[in-house]
Amino acid sequence: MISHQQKVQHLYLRAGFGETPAVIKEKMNSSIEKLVDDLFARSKQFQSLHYLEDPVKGQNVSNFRVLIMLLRAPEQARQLNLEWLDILATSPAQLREKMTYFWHDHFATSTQFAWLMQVQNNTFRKNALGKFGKLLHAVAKDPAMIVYLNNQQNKKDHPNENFAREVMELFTLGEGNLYTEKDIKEAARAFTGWTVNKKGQFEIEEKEHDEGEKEFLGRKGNFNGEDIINILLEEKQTARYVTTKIYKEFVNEDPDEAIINTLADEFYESGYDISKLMRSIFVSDWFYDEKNVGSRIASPVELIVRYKKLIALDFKDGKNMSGLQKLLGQVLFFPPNVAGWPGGKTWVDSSTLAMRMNMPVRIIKGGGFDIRPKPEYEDAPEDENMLKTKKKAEVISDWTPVVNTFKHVKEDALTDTMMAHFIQCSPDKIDKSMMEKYIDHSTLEKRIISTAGVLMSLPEFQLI
Amino acid sequence: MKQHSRRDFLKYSGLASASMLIPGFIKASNPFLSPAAKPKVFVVIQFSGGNDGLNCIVPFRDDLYHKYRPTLGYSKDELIHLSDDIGMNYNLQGLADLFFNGDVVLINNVGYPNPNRSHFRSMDIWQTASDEQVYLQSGWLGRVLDSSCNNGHCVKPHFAVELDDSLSLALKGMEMSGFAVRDPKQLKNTSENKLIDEIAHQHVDGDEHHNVTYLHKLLTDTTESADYIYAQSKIYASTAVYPQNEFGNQLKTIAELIISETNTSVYYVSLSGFDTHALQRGQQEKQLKVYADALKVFCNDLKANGKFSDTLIMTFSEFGRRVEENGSKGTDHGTANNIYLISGGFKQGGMMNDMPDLSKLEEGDLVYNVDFRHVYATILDKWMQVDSKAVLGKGFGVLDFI
Repeated sequence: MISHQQKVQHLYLRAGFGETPAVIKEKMNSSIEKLVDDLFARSKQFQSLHYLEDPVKGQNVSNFRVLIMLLRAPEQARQLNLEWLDILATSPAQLREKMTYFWHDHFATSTQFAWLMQVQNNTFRKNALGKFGKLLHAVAKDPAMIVYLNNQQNKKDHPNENFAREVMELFTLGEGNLYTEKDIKEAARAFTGWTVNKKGQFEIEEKEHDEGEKEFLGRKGNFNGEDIINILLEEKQTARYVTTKIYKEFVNEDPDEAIINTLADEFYESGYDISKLMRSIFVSDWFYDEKNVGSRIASPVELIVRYKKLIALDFKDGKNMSGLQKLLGQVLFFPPNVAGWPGGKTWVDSSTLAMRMNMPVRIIKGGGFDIRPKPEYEDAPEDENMLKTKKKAEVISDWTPVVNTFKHVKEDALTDTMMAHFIQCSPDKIDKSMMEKYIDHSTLEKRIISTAGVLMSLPEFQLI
Repeated sequence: MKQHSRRDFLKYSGLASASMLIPGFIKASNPFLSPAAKPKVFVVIQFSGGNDGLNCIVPFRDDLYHKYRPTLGYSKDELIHLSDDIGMNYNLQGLADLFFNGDVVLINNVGYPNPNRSHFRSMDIWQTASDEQVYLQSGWLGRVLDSSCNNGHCVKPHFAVELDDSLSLALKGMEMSGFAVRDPKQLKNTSENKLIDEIAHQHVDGDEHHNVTYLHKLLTDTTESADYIYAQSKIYASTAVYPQNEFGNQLKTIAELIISETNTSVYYVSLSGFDTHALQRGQQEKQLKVYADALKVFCNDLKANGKFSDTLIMTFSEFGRRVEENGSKGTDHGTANNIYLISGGFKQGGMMNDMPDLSKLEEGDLVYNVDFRHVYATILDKWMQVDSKAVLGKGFGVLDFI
């Protein structure tokens, strides 16, 4: 039986990145529908990433400038990563940020130009809850995507199929659905000449564009890139593929065909209205079924943002925050490849699970984290002497809000009350008498902190 | 199955053999996956960053080589001569000594079709053994672990050990992955935290399909592997003198585990610093020396303890480098590269095939003539005795170095 509190938490964990126990308490008297309305209302306004200024300011960029940009890129990408991580944890537009995070994975891109990544991220954010068609058109003209999938090299005489292939395989129809290798070749011709100019902006190079007739998915015409995208949107399979992916991410890794078919029909009929699709999911009864609640393994970013919300997790040296992401297996702005993060069970292996479960104790004990991700491929060899003197990452955390939320709870109800806030899946595998041994009863504050620490160390805490 | 206490576990795994950890059906069917009398061990040494193979195994009589490499090229006198026209970088002396002893198989010009010049993508291709256009979520050695699984019962994570804090894709399977540990002797990850230790030793039943059960089971496996590897690392302390650097320590640790007959069949270790876009000579030479010096001690250590003929070492990198040097006394990302295989168990060592043809380049890069998956298939079929077709998804002919 799923309690109202679990439902409220479920909504916030899936539609956003979870809320603190204090916020959940406030929301407890509202109906789910009202909370869903509130999530959409709060996502109307939003904050874009603005760490980087346009490095060329509408001017043509010189080769020297490009070199400077490349040299600064690793540091800039790290700062951008931290800025977004903070926005994920603090923005009132939680639903919009969650959708931005979803599209960041769906349209997985990485380039060395941090500025282009910032532009792309803001494009995702702006279109995150609008029409999928508009988002897809914007992505096809997105400079970072064009650079990443080599559309700059897609020219009339030498077509490059990379973007044409992925737009069907990963962004719309799904691998092997409806299209053939011939369709990929024809679509590539339609995208010829779509490039990025020296101002870092999208541009169509007319002389490189193939004006000839193409045959694509059974239609004939002098198609350009926009026509190809419109044809892809005409295909219901696109609605089905995107809905399935959303269902697997927001509801359950195991797709429910019947529900997905209904949702996909609605999505298609609505002209690919993302907000409408998400609302249908969040207000449905099945969304709150026992099999869906607490069933997903939190991604590293979801986990870190949860820590930031609960105890304001940070490091004295920001580098360690990207190091932690890397060790846990997900760094924002650095998807493993164009297919995005595989997610699900692949989020955890023996080393990342141990790391996740050891985090609370290390944070509470203080004394620092030993964070040593694998070196970047570009890095020079590590200096042996530096290695020996390397300091542990100094962690920052604040448990006061957690203490304040629970300090008025009756002592004999404390563990259960806290468990209901921290553990979202069925707690029937949790041995409470075993837990008690690790709870520090010396003061109320220590008791609350150690209880939270124990709960966050359980495998069950990894499930949202 | 009866649940063993932690103490029992240490006793069994430390003193007796660890065969109890492996389900019986695997023991019966696959010698590589079992702790039989003479288990075969496979050690991977990954050069990260794209090692310049052309300056490791050098065609010093080829005029084109010197034309493309006016400042980076090695002259005849700077090299260890493997033959009349092929030399080895003098920093690879340790590897050369092994080579002259017949313990090295060199394979030239190894690559794959439509080579990708991105570090990430090319490394993923090497680690997953995928085609260039295919994105696989599991590594080729991870799928060896997977192949042991039957009804949710698999070999334990410590079947494949990586000396690092995080696990490379190569060792990640869909059902079972390897075990990453930077220093087994300081394995505190789980044992330091008694709470986690206790949760790990709880007996949890339930639907394997469900993520709660999955996480509990993974935790139990992890803790068992951690305890086991920790205990194994205390059994034997090598007296060989390894170079005093991290890579030397890592090979020493691996040797100690092998000599202790640890029930680990795959070891994985990386050496970084090969992305030599500028001032290549100093940087690459330093790393090659770090590699070869430690390798030599490692192989001698194994030999002295009767383990060298049951150990196969493979050294690879995600790509070789552009044939023509760039304007910064460095080289840019390239394609095909050489692979070094080292073992005391070869029928015959030596150079397996011809050097790359520098007169036939494609956009300035070497054209591969051995697909790396033939090397993998050979190792899988003939060393590990694991069906290479199942692991690689299709058949690749085997080479005859084993």
